[in-house]
Amino acid sequence: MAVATADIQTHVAELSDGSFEAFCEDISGMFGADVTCERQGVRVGAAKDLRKHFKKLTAVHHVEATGMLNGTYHLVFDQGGLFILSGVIVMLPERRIREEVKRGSADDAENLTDAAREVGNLLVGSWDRAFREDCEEHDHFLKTGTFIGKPWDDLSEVDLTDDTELVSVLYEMTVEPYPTFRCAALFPKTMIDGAAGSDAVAEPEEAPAAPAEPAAVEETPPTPAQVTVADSPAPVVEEPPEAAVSEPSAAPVETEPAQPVEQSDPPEAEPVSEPTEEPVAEKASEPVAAQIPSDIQSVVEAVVGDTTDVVPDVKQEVVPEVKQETVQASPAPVAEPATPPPAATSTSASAATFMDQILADSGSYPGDTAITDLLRTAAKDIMTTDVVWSAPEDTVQDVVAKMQQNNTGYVLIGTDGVLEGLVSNSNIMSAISPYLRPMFAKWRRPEDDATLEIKIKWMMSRPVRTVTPEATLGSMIESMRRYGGRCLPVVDSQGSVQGIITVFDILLRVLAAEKTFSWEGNPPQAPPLLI
Amino acid sequence: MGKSLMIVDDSATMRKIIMRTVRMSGLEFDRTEEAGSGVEALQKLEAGAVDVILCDVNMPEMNGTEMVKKAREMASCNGTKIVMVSTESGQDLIDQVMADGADGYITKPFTPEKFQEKLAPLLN
Repeated sequence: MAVATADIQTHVAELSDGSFEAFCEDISGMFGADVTCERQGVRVGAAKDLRKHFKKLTAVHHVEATGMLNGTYHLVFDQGGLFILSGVIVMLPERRIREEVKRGSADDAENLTDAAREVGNLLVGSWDRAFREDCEEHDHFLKTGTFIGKPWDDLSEVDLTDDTELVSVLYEMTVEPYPTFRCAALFPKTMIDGAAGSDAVAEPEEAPAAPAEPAAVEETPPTPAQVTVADSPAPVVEEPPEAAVSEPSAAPVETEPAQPVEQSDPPEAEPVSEPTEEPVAEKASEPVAAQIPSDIQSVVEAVVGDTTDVVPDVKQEVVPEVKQETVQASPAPVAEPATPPPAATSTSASAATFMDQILADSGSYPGDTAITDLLRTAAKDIMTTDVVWSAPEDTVQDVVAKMQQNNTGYVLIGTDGVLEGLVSNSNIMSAISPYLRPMFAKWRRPEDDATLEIKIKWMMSRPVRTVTPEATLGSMIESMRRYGGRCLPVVDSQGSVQGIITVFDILLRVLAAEKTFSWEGNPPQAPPLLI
Repeated sequence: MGKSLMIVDDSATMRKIIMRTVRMSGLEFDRTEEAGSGVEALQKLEAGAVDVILCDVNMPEMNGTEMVKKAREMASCNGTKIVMVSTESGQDLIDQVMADGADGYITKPFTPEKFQEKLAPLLN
């Protein structure tokens, strides 16, 4: 029996490793954070002995297990883990997260209760999935509640006693760029013993008939040094005396409804309707209600659409189909000037594009020759080569500063010249609090400043629709009209960004083609100064 | 005509995360609504249907599977696409909610790409 228990203990510890790793990957994937964790040891001992590892505020997620493990176990984060993980998923500013890691109070934690619960939900989801993949006997994990407070003041708050014997798998987790924090999986010893005594328990894969490795047990008693985070300032900061911290009001225990899930099959196929092919390709083939412009003004309207509409620009730069990172603009129209225009009713999918029609109609309207020539202008000849870049990790404030310094409404986001996203003035203005505008300065709150600290990678449009240097202005207008973007990076065959074409570049070219208009300089494009 | 979206989740945090992820996916909705429970969602649906509902499974008061069943009884929701969003990944549960009338199931963790993959076909 003792041998089997040791085997199970080792097996559970290994499954815990995989589960926490799955959680790290999930958080990384969902929130773009770099998350890693490393097991520090396995200890067997009384619950009260864990106090030294989790001195300050602690988040304890209760998990009901069925399958190989039966009963309730706990997943625990120290104060650092509580504030860092909760803060990351609600995108709190880095400065505030760091502050709360050091000096966060029970009230601060209470403000993040909902976020902490969601961290627990994601955590248990990761654990459930990892166990399904690696443990045939696993049935289901269900989070039944979350406690936030100081459980070691009164362990009954988390359904334990001082002397409850626990098998604790201890970890250090790091969410860059924050300090390392501690977390753990706490299994009642009786749960491990129960699993060891169950007929359903499988022998460990690597050593089906061998006695338990002593090392598996000797891994158990870590010295305090093993679980102490030497370079982790947050957990070792002495806590200022706070009467309120120990009050139960800061320790809500929430109960979640049970779900009757008993299946342990791996969830491979998600039964969403079959993937369609290219939703936007279908969109692109829709008949275009072409209204052939007869003068420059109608070309302008074709490009900018409803010029009073500002906010939609945020989304319009996002390419609806996400399969491709970059999308080439439609080929340059090559319609011959002599080609007769399609019949007015000819708006079938196979008909020429909107711009094809314009070109095909050239000569029908006064001044159209100049427009036709203009529409055939190549991107490389009119693009703005002075492109402003920012890194995905830069904040909104950083990007606003760059826009203002360079009087540009568009910033490319990427690293080492690799285009990852695009941010427009409108993206920025819709992301930040309106209270940052000077007229609302009087009512400005810290939360409003916080919106400037959001990393730009969360705001950027992606993937980015691009054009080749040879793309014609007509095809770019067509692209903007059809997909709504107002800025097209020009990317060569090597994938290098050569410049950008914005709607302003096009408008200025259109104006230049018509001699009766005069213009000079660049229109203001950057967002307004924020105080 | 623009599309409308309702996000049903008892966690305000998760509703925001879902909203943010939908936005990042490039899917465009002219109108978005939130509901903190199945009951609230049904009340809002009585007042006006939406094109797509993203609904949590585990919710107090009325869970996601019950909400799907009741929504499917509402004439106003005939054309509404309902996609469940949950950490629960058991095939039995997925089969159950699909049988109850859901049009899709997205497991957490989700990404903008996953939303695009699952929702774009439904929007067309």
